[in-house]
Amino acid sequence: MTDWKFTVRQIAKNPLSVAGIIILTFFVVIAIFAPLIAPTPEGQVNPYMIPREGYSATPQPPSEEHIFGTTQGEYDIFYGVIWGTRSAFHVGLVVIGIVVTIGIILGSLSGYFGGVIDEVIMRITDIFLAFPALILAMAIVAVIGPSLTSVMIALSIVSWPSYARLIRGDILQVREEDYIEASRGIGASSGRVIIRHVLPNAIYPTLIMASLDIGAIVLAAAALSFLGLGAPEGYADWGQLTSFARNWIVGPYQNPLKYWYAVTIPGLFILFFVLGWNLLGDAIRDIFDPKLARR
Amino acid sequence: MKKILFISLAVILSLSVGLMGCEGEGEGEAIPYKNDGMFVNETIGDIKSLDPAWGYDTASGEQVSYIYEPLLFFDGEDTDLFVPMLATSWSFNATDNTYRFTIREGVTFQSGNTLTPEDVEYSFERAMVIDRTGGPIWMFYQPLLDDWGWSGNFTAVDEAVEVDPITDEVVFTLCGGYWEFPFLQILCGPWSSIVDMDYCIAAGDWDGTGADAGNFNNPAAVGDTKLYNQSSGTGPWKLNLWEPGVQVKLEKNTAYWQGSVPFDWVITKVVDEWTNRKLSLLNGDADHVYVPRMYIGELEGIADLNTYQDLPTLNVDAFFFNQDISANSSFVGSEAWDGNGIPLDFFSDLDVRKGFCYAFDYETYLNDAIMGEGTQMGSPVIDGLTYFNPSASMYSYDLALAETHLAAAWGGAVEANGFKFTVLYNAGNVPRKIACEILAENLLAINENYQIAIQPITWPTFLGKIWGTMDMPMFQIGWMADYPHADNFVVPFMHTTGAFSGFIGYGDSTLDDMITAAFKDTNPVTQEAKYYALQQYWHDDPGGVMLFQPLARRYFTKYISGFYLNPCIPGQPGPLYYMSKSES
Amino acid sequence: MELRSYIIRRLLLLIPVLFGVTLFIFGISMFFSPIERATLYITDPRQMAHLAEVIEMYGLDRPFFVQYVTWLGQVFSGNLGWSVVVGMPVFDAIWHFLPATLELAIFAAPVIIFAGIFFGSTAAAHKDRPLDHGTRVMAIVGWSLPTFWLGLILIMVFYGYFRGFLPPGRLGIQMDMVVNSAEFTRYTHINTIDAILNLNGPVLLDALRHLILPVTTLTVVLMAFIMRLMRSSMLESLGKGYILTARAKGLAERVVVNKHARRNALIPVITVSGYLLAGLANGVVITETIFTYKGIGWWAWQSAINMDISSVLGFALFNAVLFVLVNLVVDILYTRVDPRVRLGGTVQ
Repeated sequence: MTDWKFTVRQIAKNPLSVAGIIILTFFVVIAIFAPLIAPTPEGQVNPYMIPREGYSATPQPPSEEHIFGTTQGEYDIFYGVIWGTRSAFHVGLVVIGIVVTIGIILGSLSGYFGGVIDEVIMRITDIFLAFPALILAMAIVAVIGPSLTSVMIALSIVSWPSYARLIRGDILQVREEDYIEASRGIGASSGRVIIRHVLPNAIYPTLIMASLDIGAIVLAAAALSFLGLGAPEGYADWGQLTSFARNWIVGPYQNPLKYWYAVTIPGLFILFFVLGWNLLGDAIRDIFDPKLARR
Repeated sequence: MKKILFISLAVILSLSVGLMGCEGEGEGEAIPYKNDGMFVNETIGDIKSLDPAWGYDTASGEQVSYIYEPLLFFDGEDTDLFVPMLATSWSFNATDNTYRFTIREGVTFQSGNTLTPEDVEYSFERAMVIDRTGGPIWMFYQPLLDDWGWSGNFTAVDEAVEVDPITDEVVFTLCGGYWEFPFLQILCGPWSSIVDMDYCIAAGDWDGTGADAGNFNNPAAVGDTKLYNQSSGTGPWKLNLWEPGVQVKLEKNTAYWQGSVPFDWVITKVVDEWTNRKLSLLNGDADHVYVPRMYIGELEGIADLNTYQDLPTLNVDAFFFNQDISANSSFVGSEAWDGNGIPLDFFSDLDVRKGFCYAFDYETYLNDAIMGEGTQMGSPVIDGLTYFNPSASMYSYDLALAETHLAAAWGGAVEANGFKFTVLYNAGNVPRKIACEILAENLLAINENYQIAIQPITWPTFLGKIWGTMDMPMFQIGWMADYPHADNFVVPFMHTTGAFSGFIGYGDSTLDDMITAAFKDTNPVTQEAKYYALQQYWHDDPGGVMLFQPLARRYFTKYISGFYLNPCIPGQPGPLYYMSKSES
Repeated sequence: MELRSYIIRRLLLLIPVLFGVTLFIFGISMFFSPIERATLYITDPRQMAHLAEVIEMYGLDRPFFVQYVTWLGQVFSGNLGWSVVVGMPVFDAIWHFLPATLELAIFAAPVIIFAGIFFGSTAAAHKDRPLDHGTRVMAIVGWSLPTFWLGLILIMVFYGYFRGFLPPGRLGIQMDMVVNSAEFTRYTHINTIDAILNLNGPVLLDALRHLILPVTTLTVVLMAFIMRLMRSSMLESLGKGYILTARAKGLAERVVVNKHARRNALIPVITVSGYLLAGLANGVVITETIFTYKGIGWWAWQSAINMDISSVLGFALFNAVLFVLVNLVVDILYTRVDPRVRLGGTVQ
């Protein structure tokens, strides 16, 4: 039985992993086919801006025109959550991509070479870790101006230190292994050793953490939106939509759940997205982590 | 097993803790009666300082108006009739421009000291000595010394306010007879509160002499004044506790000179979350809460709430045109006539401004931004100010006229090239955002080359751009009355040194002379004609799109009675001394 | 490495960290023009006409290093500056707002940790069976909920629907009167502790009542961290050789799990718990805002959006010190709990 086949079987055995994969596939499909599912109205240049009917400040319930209703300012919720899937993937993958790359570079340098390089890099990560994350994010967004780009930059700057540390730790463990000694013994350059031998063995915990963190990034972006520092108003972003719901969670007295659609729908999208990534991450760990030996 | 025990214990404990505190199970919509003898108000925004000479924001003014009192105040709902407070009578002498006030006897401060005319003199001189940058004391300097602030000359300040040793009256020397009426209006504000001289001096405040004045002028930090968080006023309530960011608690002044204070405690809590405020009101935990306009629908039809609506306010928003945009602006696109920008003096052309005024859909703004509760204004002089012209000319929504004006603008260059610029609003302000969108959409409908982008920015940055960098082509901001006189609105909107007009390149010396002449006119008939002329001037040469004068609302539980609106009373709850709370 | 010299070395490392953090913030603030930074001191549009004077007064247009050195000088003389957003010195502001956050942290941390440990070990003990799946999904769902969303829904249910059952804020109005009265001494400003010290039952109950919702929100959201870690850590230790030995010796399953596996599984949990406590004590902005439980997180946020640089710097210093201290304590604890690890060895 090949490795892949075995892996697939392992995944299939675990219902939660299967659920995670199904959820993520669902989102990937939505993201890819967004223009078909929720077509951008004629004449609108930026598809990420949610179209709106009028200017009414109160959310309107689901109707024929607006399947999921509208949120405050008459933004169509359906359009928002569909295109928001793209934003979510965008933010999550870009930030994780940047963070893992920086983490790998700095972490490997630090872990492999040790000494002064290690000390300097570790002190720098200390400084960033000691930094109040929210304040840093706010400051960055305030300087650049609220937009998805500034959110991504802010989250990247705040998240890279933990990855650098993680990779450094893993490399520290791996570099003492015999096969690394052997590589060096036959004269392989440091770079080659790192890339071909150390990293592939050290990377698993990082990848697992990364997959789990994609959800965390999306949640952090939503938190920034709640604090008024996220994407500009009207941008198709789940965090935005959920933060719009902030003041409509309790409706009028006679009907407190009147605006349920504005509150629940964007929240559910975030929930399932994060859930999917988490389940997937857990599944990968259960399967790839050599410490949890194959049973 | 132990786990389950632990968990069930925790659950039972929390339930019992919660139930123990649970007060009353009001059925249906009934709001329970709680906190007898206390007035609990939940609002956003904390006070800045309790010092009457410092505070210029509504929250501070509100608390100051509970703790301290001025010489006189507006009568009921009127803004041009007065009733005596700490002064029993006053008279103006047109020959030497002196105002004489007889001070009430038998009034004690909360410290126990008795009110004397010397306290009144001290209060005003102290304020003028302190005169902090950006504070309200210019309102004393203007009528008394025709100046804008402290210049080091204590003698002038000293002589402007004196106590007549023979009659014991407090004598103000005005710089002109035309200040007679507006000065009384200024005396009603919280900055005109009378402070306890002996208390202040004992606390280390200014000792009343010219030599000491330099030590107290323009303090660097708000906490540097002695009356920042301690007070001794004559008002119905005195300070009990101020927890910054959390609450202000005032307790009843049992020695209050008018007697019978209706509430033992006045508690103002800072609660930023609308949901919490709303639930507090409905649970009876608060007697009044601040309700942002967007959510008035959620409080409809609740029997146990007292709603007051259509309350005229003395503020107005305008959508200003910056006729002199600064050179480094990033909001003007290419800065040229190529359809991708606007030149820096784009708005100096009258047809451009008129076109924009006609392109604004006033009705949609009224309905969507302010939920139908407002009156369109034709000029900065709004309803409720002396010399408001109810038949003033106003712009209407007319796309055809807008198109004509824009076609004529800049000799046809606008129509030929189109334009593109960015308009900014302060993030979170939904009505202002709606106004931007209405304008953008309508201009686009006239001509697809008339493009406006909309961008939110944070409030501090926004203010910096209006008065500092001056790089925004258009912006919205509002003005709230200091005192209910037309001049208080005309100057900031139309005078070359005005708080708004001075920074958008509006006005000239001829207009300035018109404004000064109007203010200095002591004949009501001709003065009215002059102010009517100024209102027409704005219409003929608009500095911005005049938006609406909003009608306000207040929400109280049914147990609170006695509220009436006087737009000059700072804060939302209103004339607290004349209100009461009872279960029946 | 000796304990004392280790501690000294770690504390000395605090200094470059503090410099780095504060320089960084200063650097960011320099992105804002003096005009924009001056708007902090202005509360009303009318005041903006005096902008130039304000800039002059606070030295906002002097070069970067001059401002930084001036600030450093003030700090060394014990003056952290003035926090404009709350109208008191920065140092006072930190002490003023810290108790609320600490109260939340003191109650939330144990609940989160115990809940996490409990659910984590349950999940591990029933690996791949419904209970495992159930607890894992539940924990992750909790973590996936945006904090404010959950918080507001809890308020809607327990304050709205249940008519004032669990209100927001720290204390009700009546108890607030008691706490501020002459008979009650506020030693720590942490209401529960003060209530116990004053032997005042009603205040204690009221304070606890107001803690239930925020602590629940924090627990539901943060429990997953501990739970997940505990689960994998338990699984790892359950797979170790000595467990097999214990089972072979015939020890009861419960003893095997509780006494042997769990103790070793707790090690990484301690690390994370340390960071959790630090993170909570750092201030949880959203929870504090929603439940009107204003602590340090709320203050830091207000300072940041109003560009109150002194406050932000003060908070950053506090944060950095807290972070380094917690790191230090966790590392030392680690060596106590796991005898294989030496002080100064590589610790992840």
